[in-house]
Amino acid sequence: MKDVLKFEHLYVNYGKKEILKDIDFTVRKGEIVGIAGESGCGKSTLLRTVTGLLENTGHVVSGHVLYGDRILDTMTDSDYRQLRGMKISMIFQDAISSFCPVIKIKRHLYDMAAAHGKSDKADVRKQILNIFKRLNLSDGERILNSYAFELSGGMCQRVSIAMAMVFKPDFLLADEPTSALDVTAAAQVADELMKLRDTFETGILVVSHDIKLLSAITDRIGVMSQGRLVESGRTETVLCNSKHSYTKKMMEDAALLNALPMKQMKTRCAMDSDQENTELNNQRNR
Amino acid sequence: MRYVLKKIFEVCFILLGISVISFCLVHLAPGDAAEIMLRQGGRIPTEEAVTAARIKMGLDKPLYVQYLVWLRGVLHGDFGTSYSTGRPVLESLIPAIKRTFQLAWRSFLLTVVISIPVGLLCAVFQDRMADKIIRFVTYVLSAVPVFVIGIGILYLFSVKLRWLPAISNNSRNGLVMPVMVMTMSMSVWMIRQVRTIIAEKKRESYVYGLRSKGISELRIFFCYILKDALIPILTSLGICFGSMMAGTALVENIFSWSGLGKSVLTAINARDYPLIQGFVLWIGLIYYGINLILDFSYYIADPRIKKGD
Repeated sequence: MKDVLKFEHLYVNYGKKEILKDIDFTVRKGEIVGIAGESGCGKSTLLRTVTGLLENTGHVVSGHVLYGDRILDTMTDSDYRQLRGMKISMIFQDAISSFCPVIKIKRHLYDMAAAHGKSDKADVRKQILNIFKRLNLSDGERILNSYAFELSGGMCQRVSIAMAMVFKPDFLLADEPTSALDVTAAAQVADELMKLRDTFETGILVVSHDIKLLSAITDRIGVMSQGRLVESGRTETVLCNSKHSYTKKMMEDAALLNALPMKQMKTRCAMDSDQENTELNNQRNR
Repeated sequence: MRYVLKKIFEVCFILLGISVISFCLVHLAPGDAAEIMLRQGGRIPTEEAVTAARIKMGLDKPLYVQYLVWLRGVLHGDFGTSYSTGRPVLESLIPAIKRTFQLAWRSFLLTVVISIPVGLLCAVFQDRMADKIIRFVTYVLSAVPVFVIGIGILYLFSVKLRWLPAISNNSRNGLVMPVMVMTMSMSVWMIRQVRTIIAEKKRESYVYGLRSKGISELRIFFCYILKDALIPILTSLGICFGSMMAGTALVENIFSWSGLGKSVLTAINARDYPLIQGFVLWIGLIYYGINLILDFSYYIADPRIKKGD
């Protein structure tokens, strides 16, 4: 059953320093889960733990990350490599920097395909061009023959998404996918992520400090502070009826900076209240 | 065509600039060229003889006039006459350049063959035992002055083992020890350069990006990191060759190899202004040529530069 990415009481250290403490939540296929939190709270470490690419002194102290019934944190590197890019893909904050500047986009694609036993370049090319079209990337051939620095930030991020999706992975990890983009490009990327969820039923884990993004696209949200998940639940519940003081503070700060217009928040909260009542009634009637 | 003209203009401007600076600097140095020349052979010249020599050598004229006279000669292919030898400057310079080139290309080739693989080894096995040992050895060797290494090698191979001649006499056998010394001194620097460059490239964001796509470490290293490291490594190699071609005076003096370095040291001691100016121009030209080759190689190797144009 590979439709679940589960964090089970996960503790991760860098050397002796605790970075993640008792992280416990689930991401299902066909949903977008967001992780919000300030810089340095461990969001990126969370993603690195899933991909098995913790930096030198990083290690899992206790707990597990499960992909279906497979325990990721105890896998060998060669087994892990089979999953990366194929079953679990990732996109980054600075898409341009995630490509080698002196190698063309197509080479990255072909090497990724070859690493997963797909040596038919024509077939891979066809697949990626299809995805380019779905993501409104015109002139796919030109993009493949370009270097990353020749593309705009927004275009490069969509190319990253396309490459991450070419083998239809079960899960997509997004590390601050819109932080480096202008508002128009960010909106396009947010839109693409939602399309991926709806079209491919991909489970998406988005880590970001951008409350606006998370409130717009996520189904469920977790709030991290100092390596701990202080609150989690449905996005509307967490954002509108925050229980933890840190979450409340974060929402107040977001409203102060107009990150989430009050009118929109009130509407969502009202919707959430209706939905909660409906769910409660359904439960009573069973 | 425009690019070629631009480069020709550039080289003329650079050579003009460095010739003015070096001309001023050598004339500012204490010592009278006429008197030094007359004192050769242990003679003590009279004041009248020195004055007459200064007039004959054109040293009585204002500095800017002396420079313009020299420049006019250069533009007509005449680099002047050496005060020490009395022969045209080119007659001394060209053989010296050839001898330095003999030393430089051999040392350069050996440096590349040794330092690139060893530097790569250190980068691949970063912070492991092999890397630590090699780094320790390079630190120790780079701290030892070149003339100490040179004298040490001279003592070992010429005095103790008697395998090689102590004085090179510009012979083939005489090349071995100076090449060894130059290779050793440049290799220790180049190994650290290669290691540092590759280690930096390994920390680039795209490496994490490639790993997250499931691409193997071997492929990432050889097809991505090495290609990205090519430009800074080429730059270091250019600097390495340039400094070898400038002629390392110390090495050439220890082994009596009559290259550029030894010649210019002799010229400076003798206040042989035409020879010094000739040397400066040639070294400027060599460095400019190396930079031009490097620019061209960047254009080929780095798409950011190619596309930027």
